[in-house]
Amino acid sequence: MNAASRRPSIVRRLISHHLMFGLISVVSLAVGLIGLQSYWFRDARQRHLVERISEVRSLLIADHISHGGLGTQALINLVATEDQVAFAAAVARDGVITAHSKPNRIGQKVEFDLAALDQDLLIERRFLDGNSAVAREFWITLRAGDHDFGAIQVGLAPDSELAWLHGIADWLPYTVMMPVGILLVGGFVLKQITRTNAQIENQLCAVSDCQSLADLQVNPLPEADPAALGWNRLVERVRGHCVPQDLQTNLLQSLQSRHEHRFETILNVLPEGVALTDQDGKVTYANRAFQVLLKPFHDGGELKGKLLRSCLPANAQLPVNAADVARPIAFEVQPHGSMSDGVLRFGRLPLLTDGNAAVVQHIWTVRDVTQQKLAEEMRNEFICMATHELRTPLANIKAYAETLTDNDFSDIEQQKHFLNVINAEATRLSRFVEELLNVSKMEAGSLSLALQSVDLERLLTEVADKVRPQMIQKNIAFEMSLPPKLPRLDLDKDKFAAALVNLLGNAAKYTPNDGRVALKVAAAGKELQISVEDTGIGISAEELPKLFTKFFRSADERVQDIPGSGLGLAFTQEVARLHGGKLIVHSELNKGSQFILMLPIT
Amino acid sequence: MPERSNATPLSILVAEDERVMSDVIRFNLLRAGYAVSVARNGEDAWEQLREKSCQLLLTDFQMPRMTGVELCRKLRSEFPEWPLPVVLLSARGLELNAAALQSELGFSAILFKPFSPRELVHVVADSLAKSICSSASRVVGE
Repeated sequence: MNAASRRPSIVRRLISHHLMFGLISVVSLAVGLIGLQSYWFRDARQRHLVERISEVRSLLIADHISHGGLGTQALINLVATEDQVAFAAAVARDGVITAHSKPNRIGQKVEFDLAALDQDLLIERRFLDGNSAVAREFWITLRAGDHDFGAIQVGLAPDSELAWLHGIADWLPYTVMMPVGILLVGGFVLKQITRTNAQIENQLCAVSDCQSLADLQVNPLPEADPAALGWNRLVERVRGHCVPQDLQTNLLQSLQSRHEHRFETILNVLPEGVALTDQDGKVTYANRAFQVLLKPFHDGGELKGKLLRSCLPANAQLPVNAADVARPIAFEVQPHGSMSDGVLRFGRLPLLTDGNAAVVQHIWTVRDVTQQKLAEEMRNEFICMATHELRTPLANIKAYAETLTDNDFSDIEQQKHFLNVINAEATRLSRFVEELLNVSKMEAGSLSLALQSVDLERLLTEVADKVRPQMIQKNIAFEMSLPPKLPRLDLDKDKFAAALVNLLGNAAKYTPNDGRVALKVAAAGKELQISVEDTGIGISAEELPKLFTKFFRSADERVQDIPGSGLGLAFTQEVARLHGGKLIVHSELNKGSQFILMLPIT
Repeated sequence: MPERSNATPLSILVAEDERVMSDVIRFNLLRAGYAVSVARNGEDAWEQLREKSCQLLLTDFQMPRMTGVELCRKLRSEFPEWPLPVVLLSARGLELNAAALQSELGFSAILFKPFSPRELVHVVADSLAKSICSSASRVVGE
């Protein structure tokens, strides 16, 4: 909408309407007043004239009585000087004019019958004169009692055309000029009152004219009243919202603004590091986690303003396509060389400004993934181990079985030996499969006990028999000491036996040849203690706390040489716990270990 | 019966840490007429290899202190001119990139556990035959 077609401002229209209507009202009021006034005036004047005529009549009658009518002419002239009076005349009884304001009329006869006049009434006579205009005359008799001196004739002047104009001229200052003046003053005051509205309207028109709100050029209004102040704030707010800003400025603004302070709070409680870099790779924002995670790799202080690349761990290698700034990239760094000393996972995302692809800023993220990586590694190791532990006994079984079928054995002992091997390997396999099943149950939290009343002594003897071959093979001295009377307990026979086999099996596995393993059972009050001691390779103090975690295997070389799933102790501890007891360990590296399984006796 | 021309049996070095497995392998190879020596781990195997008294190396993958692959790699780098046939036994299965290993380190065969002893003997014979042929052709070529 261009200026030409724009209507005048509402304020201007308001004022002009005020003036126009006011003026019309004033004018019509004035006209009315004047009309009223002239009417009233005429009436007043006429009344005055009538009074005058009455006075003169009395004087004339008195003059006739006392002086025989000598003063008649003078009195008639007096009447004729009155306003509205065209002429005055004294008329005798016979209709002859005896005195007249126009002397040339003296002696003429009037065309009026005086006898028609009532004694004391002043009558007004209207008639068409020679010019066909309405003429008006007053007639009153000069009778008093017995005297009859004729009558007075007063001719009224026709109403002057411009008589009323004189009236106006007299009253003009009051009837017209003063109201107009007041109106103008009112208009001026109105203008002052609506000035703010007019300015606001101007700015609104400027808004409608401009192409984009961002280009709006308006000055703040003088803040004379709350409306102007409110308007200014509104404009400022709108302008602020419409200025195109790059995403980073917006982000930074929202981070810094008082109202959006919570974004900064949220970013600062994240465990993941988040940072922003500009097109030169310098840090423009870094949350707390980012600062903390990168602290060891630069010379300290605020990251802001520093080149991010120089604050990364020394051995950090960005992927080959990192040079392409528009690509998201991710990479891992082991700052201290080994996985267990920490792994950081970095990510970089481009933050493109609208339209301008050349200027690219980045969002960087960093996360400590050490735990994840270690867990992954443990899981992979477990799977590797599990495959091996399953395939090895199977391979043995197959190899021995096939050898038996393909060959003739002259030596029956050798044949038996082969069959025993097959049997033992099958047992080994089934034990391992059982372990795997237990693991999956433990993982699912669904390991449960099938309790039955168990003769502890028999159980222990069975368990000992199972592990004895292992002991014999390594020439390990195996001792068992049980108290004379062992109670019957409610146990899950299979699982408990498996737990004990695990402990004894470990003792045998991790004790070198010619060592010693002892199984001791003692009842101490409310508790049963089953202790398995060995003179084996022992466990270091650092590894002791982790011993019962699933998949844990010692880093000790000697342990690595011995196959194991890392699940046995976790399983044994779980079994102890499910029975209401616990498993504890004492150990000294290179000296030996002692595992004590405690059970409550009800 | 596979023999060398001067009637001494061909010697096979078996590197396998598990006693049970090495026993049955030894039994089968002996029955097949080979001379067998056993090493319990990679280092032990290496010591025996250096004596250069065997005509074929049969090694397990998973061994303490040195895997079968590492052993072979060491062999190839230390004795590049010695074309000793090496057969690998592995419980790894599909996780092992058999083709790459064969071409890179010159394994003449890879056997996956569980395996058939019959097949093992067959593979050993095959590998030996190939190696004898190639060494013979070298002699002829000179």
